[in-house]
Amino acid sequence: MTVLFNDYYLNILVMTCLWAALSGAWNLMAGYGGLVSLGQSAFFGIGAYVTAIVYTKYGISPWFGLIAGMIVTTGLAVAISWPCFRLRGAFFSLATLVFPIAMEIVANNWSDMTRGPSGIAIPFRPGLDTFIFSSRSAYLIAAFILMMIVYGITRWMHRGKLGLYLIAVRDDEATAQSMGINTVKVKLIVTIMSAALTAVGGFFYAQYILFLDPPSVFSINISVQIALLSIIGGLGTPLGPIVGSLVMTPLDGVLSQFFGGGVRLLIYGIALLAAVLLAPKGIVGTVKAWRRP
Amino acid sequence: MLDILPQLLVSGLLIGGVYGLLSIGLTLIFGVLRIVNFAQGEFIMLAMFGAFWLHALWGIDPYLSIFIVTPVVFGLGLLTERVVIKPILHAPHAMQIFATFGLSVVLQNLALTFWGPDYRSVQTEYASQSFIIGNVAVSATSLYAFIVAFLMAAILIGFLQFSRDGKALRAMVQNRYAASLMGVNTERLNRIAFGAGVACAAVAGCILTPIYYTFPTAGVDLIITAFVVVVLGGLGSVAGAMVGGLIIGVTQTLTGFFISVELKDVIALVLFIVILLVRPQGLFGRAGMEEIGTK
Repeated sequence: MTVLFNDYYLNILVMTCLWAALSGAWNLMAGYGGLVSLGQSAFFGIGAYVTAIVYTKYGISPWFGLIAGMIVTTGLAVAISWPCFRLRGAFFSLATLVFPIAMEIVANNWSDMTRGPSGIAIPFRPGLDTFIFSSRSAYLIAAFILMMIVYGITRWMHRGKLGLYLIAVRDDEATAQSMGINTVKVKLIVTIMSAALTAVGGFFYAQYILFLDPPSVFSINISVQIALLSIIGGLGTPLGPIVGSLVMTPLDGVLSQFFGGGVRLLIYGIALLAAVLLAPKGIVGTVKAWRRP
Repeated sequence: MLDILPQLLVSGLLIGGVYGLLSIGLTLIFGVLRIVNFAQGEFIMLAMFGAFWLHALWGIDPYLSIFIVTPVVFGLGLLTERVVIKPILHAPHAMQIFATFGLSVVLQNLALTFWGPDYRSVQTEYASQSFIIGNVAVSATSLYAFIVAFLMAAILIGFLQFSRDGKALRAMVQNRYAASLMGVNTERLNRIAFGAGVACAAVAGCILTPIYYTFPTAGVDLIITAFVVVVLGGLGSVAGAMVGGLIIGVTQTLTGFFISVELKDVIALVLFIVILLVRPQGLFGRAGMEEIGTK
């Protein structure tokens, strides 16, 4: 038992829950709405940065930073997604790909706020008001709750009217519109939900890792990894992101112990390719197909 | 201030020609296969490493290595089409995006594993040469790159206009289904289009090696510009890609000089979004092109 609960394994468990939550938030947009965003790391990074800036620069509790981060992120998500909804398929992805790149440039150059490339170190002051804990178990509980919230929202959507509307929009937007669905409104709602939840993930990351710099939160690799977990687990299923993260995050932890960045990402890329080519329905979808032949 | 304007315009146009060359392969692949190849930058990067090693090991000039690297990358393209592209031709677009994205991650990290993260450069004796015309200086390597870019575009446009396969490809760009009914072997042409598309990337990679650094993530920096250019010119249009390249090249050079170097990259991104929103079919694209291939 002590082996299982040492810091190394606890860290992997925390990251598994965090990635599952982030991927689940992406799954809302991409899996249900067909909005294949490659810009999630922009939401993640803004959530993290706003939290860190509010806390370190102004000394205000990160909980307010969380709220501020969610407001900023959702505002930005609306501002940038609304016009992009006119774009279809790969064009939407291309447009969203641009935002993390732009944010990284902003974070690198707006040194007064973000301290530029040198990054922000968050002072270690444990407490519930700072959302910094000396034991990793506390983080694990929080990350697990976050993951379950995302799962719960996804399940609720999966069954409910919003989910059905989204699937209709994803499968055939013109028909959905002619059936009286306000497609823009539906897409906007799911984007706001996804962005807000991703910002919560950013807040958690900031208060857990206690250090931020532009590449560590705005990298496109984060967007890709978020998507990858849902694709491997099963796109458009509530359980998919969790299953994907349960498989891939511990694997990633083990791989990073033995290999440097190159080989680790190489295996990651091969996993992504293999998943798309061999099991496009993901683990959950494939298992379901077996059970119901 | 204004006497530097001709110099800036010439530099911008020279860079723009290379941007155009980066983009014509991407536009060809999208036009025919309806797939945005996110791994296009990695084929450029592989060609750069090809040209680099040919020079480092046997002293082969980067411009000569075009004739060695391009056929090899063309073959690599045929193989990629078979293994990665063909199975996803009719898949949902999320799968198409992540298949080519996955390919780009694999190629990048293969290069990283084999050759390490170092920035390498090819030193040629003509690298520092430049021609002075009036009060405008033109560096030799940029001029050669510009000439090769337009030669390549001319060859590609000639192939599309006059050859039998080229005509069939254009028919497929207009309507795949009708083309197949007219007896066009669409599977074979898919392969040719993808091979030719990455071959364009290979030529671009070779002419970039004397100007730019060679490193595993070089493709990432280049592909974003290529996306902007392609969207501006109109996806599927080769001429549009060349014109788009020139426009972006000049815009970047002017903003870089008159406003700030950091803004140079942001301006391309802003331009990209604005074009997508205002005129999604691009300058030369047909209306509705951006809606095709998404279902």
